[in-house]
Amino acid sequence: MTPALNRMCQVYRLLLRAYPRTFRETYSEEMARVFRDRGLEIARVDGASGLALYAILTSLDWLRTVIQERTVSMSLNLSTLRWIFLACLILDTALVKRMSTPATSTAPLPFALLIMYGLLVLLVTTHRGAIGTESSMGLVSGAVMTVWTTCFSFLPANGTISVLAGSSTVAIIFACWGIAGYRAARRTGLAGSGWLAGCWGGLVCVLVKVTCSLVLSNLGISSQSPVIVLAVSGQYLLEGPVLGALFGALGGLAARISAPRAIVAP
Amino acid sequence: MLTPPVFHILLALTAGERHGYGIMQDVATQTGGDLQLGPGTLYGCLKRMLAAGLVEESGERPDPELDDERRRYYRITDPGRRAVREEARRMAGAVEAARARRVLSGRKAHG
Repeated sequence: MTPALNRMCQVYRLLLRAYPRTFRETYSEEMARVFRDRGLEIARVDGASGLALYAILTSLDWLRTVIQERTVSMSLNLSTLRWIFLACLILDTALVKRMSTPATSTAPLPFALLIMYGLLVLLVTTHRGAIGTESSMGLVSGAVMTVWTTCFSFLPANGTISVLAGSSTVAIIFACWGIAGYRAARRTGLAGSGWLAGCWGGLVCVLVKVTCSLVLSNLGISSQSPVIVLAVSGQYLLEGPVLGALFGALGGLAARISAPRAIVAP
Repeated sequence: MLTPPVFHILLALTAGERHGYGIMQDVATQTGGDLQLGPGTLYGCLKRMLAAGLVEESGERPDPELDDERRRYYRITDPGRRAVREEARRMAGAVEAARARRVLSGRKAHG
């Protein structure tokens, strides 16, 4: 085996760690072996240039299938998802009530939460929309958003790290919503389903973020005052679905341009 | 309706048991190199096909033509054979329809 192929095999073994655990435990040995065997054949027939192309194509295959397998593994079953949403509704309402004081104007927030959760439960219960991908993208973007905003409070406001981390976080979140829209459009063959998928992703994202913010604030971990947490949460609840729909629509449009015909997923 | 990777994997297995790399080579041969399955696509499809009962594992053993490493082999099941047959019939029907409308006749559209 050539040194280049040897290094590629080592890198590929590392990349295999990105797959979900059960998938990795079952197939990673076989995948690494197949990767090596194919690489040996290409090195023999096409040489270094062939190996370079092979590395690029396999990277794309890795990226696409990692997202696919992660999405499948994160596609919580509908019953679980419904109970999680209901538990979050009760938790958030209790936390908002606990944080409310006569000085804080929180009247719209419990109602917004109630409406948002009601919509989610309705969507899940009636099996409308594409639950798996969009929920997982929403959960990922919500987790990223929560981690970032929690870290943000401990960083200097205008520092270079803050700006870079903030920009990349926003980019990741928007990309998650775009991916949700793209995948929904590819699955259904309808570009229009992108905005709905993105909207769903945005909804789940802000609900994750709001729930975490309320919990952190009640535990005294957040450096933001309860008044600001409540105000920002209300703002997120309005912005998340709208921005999610926008980026989901862009994802749907990208799917339409890249694959004009309907494609049925494996 | 089967996706192209699933169809070609099943088609490869109709000729007999294969391990992962054997399937990959067979699919490339069937399609004249147009469909090159990456390891992620191959094993993602196999996972779903195992769950759907279209294929099954047939044990681990070395491939005498490659090396002495033990490899996991896969074979097609009866439902898998029916599925690939139905898909082949559907595709043959589509080709017939295309031929009847002279889509396939005459000069090539590009070059």
